Amino acid sequence: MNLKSETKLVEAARNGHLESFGLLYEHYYSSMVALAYSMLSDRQLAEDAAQEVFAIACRDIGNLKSKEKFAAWLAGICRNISRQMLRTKARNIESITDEPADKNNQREYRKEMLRRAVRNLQHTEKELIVLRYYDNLPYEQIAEILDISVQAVNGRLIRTKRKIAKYLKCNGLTGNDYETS
Amino acid sequence: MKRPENYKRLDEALSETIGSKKHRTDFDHWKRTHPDAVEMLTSRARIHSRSGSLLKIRNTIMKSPITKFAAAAVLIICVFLGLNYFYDDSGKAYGMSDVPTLFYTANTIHMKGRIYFPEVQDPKKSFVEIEHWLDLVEGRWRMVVPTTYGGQEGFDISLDEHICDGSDYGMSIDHKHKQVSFAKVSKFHRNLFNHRNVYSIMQLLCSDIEGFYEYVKIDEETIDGHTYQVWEAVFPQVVNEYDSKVTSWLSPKTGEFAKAIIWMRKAGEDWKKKMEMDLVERNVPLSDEIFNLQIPAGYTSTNTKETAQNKPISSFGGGLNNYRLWTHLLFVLPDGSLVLCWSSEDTEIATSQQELFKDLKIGGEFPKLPFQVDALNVSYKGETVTFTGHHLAYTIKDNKFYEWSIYTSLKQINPEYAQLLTFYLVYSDNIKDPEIKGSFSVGIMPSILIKDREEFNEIFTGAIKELSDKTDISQELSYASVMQLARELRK
Repeated sequence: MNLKSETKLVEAARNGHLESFGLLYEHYYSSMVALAYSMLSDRQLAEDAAQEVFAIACRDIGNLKSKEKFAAWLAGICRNISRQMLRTKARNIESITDEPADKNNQREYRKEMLRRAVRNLQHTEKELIVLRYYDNLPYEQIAEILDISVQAVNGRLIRTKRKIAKYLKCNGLTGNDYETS
Repeated sequence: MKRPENYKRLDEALSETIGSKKHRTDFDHWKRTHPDAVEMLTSRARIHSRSGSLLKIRNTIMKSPITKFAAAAVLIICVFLGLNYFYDDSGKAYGMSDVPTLFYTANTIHMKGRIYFPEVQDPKKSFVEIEHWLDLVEGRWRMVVPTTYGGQEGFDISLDEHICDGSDYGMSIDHKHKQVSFAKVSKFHRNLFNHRNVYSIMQLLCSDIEGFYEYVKIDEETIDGHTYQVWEAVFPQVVNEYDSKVTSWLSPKTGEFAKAIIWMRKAGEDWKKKMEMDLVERNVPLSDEIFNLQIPAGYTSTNTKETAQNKPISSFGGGLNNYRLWTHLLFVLPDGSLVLCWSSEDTEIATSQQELFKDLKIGGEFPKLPFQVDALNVSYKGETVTFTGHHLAYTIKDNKFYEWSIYTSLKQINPEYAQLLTFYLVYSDNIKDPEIKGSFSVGIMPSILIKDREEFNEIFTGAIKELSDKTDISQELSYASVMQLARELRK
């Protein structure tokens, strides 16, 4: 979907055209799940959040000022909902601590260390990584959601991956594990 | 020199660790679970319609109002630019080629007018008043249609009414005999009737439905302070030996009709009115009273809701000796490929066809029924386009076997346009000689456009369930699988 056709769909949806809204839903649903997952770290909750995002979008689409920024607007709703869910989740679960990773199972150990590396990222970096790897989103769509240029997506991804690689190296995962070649 | 960074292994590891299975984006399910949100959004359409704004939808490829060439040019440009969806709020003028989209996307339609019977001498019987109300959102309709009677009493015209209130029941009123009858109308049927009713309405506005692209602008008139462009198209011998001509008054600003007249004439005679619609409204509020299923006072009922039978799906076809070929439903899929549900049987031998449907492969050969529909032909821009068929699925209902075949062509036809075309069956006769091909029109059965996954799940899947004793649908008949098959068959 290019920007022009998307803008037309947004306009149609603003005028109450459900089918157009459905196409936007299909286009952005996965990315909203990914975005929510970057905050919630729970796939089921992330799906619930994404569903709610579109319910709020239905209600508020008339308030959307710039049709061209639909994806970024949707992402804003998603962050708000995820924050609310995170607060509820925090109340329900007293504390979450990292389990010590089992060094004897190398594969699981690497995965766990990678998860920790992602968790240690700044929020914006985590969003970027999850959007990219959760559902293999193309750079263009990530750029729309984060409201930055494709070049910026590329640059930030390289910097973030460098940071992850450094974290892994500090935790003894080097050489054939993840380092650059 | 510093080596460029390569995070291939890290990329793989991140995908494996964070990655998720592709999400099923089921908008249909979302709609069902968020009715309030849907209502909030769609209520904007009602407000928008009433304020006279111009709501149009995607895939309005045929934008140009005047000629096929202009329309084709727009199509080519759109395909070239990769523009999939259109929405025009720029005040662009509406033309006749926009009419199918305007009607297929309306929330409600209300029409009123007359059908003339110029061959009848008695002036009191020379026309009847008809009126149609369609609520396409709620799946409700009321259609007042003429019925003609011949026989010893001479030619007579009466009116029938067909009403559905959006529930699982419909009612027909026979005003001549003051009788009503009820029928069960499933959700699938309501969708189907929605589509067919709009098709009927467009036939009333344009005689030959493909002709929306044949109109020329001949004049401009002001009626009640509004400017209308007068469009005209002549269709030689559309019905029997009669030529027909359609004159339409269409507002270029709103796409609303002031009126439409269909004329007919025999060769060498003057034009006579066959139909005149002088009220054609879209997106107007329709009260619940219109769709009331109350039996009118003084009328008797042949059955009740409790004893009502399911409304059958209409079938069209023909036969030779005791062999029959029936077509039941024709779908145009979002990529322009077609799915036809057909059946063929020997009316004298009541043996099961199970053996013929055994071991069929999806995308493979048809079952060896008495007749088989090898292809669908259509005339498109002056050339014949052939859609070649393959087996897709079969269903069994009440011991009758239905073949569902998929038809694809390398030539792409815009689905919005394809739904208006008349397709011709190319069949072979497996009893007599499969090499001898025959052909007949399936134009009497309007094709049903499936615009997206949502409609596929609702209408297409609904159709399969309707013609099946089973209630579940195999994975091979999912939207993704069928579209993938169509892509492969086109290769």
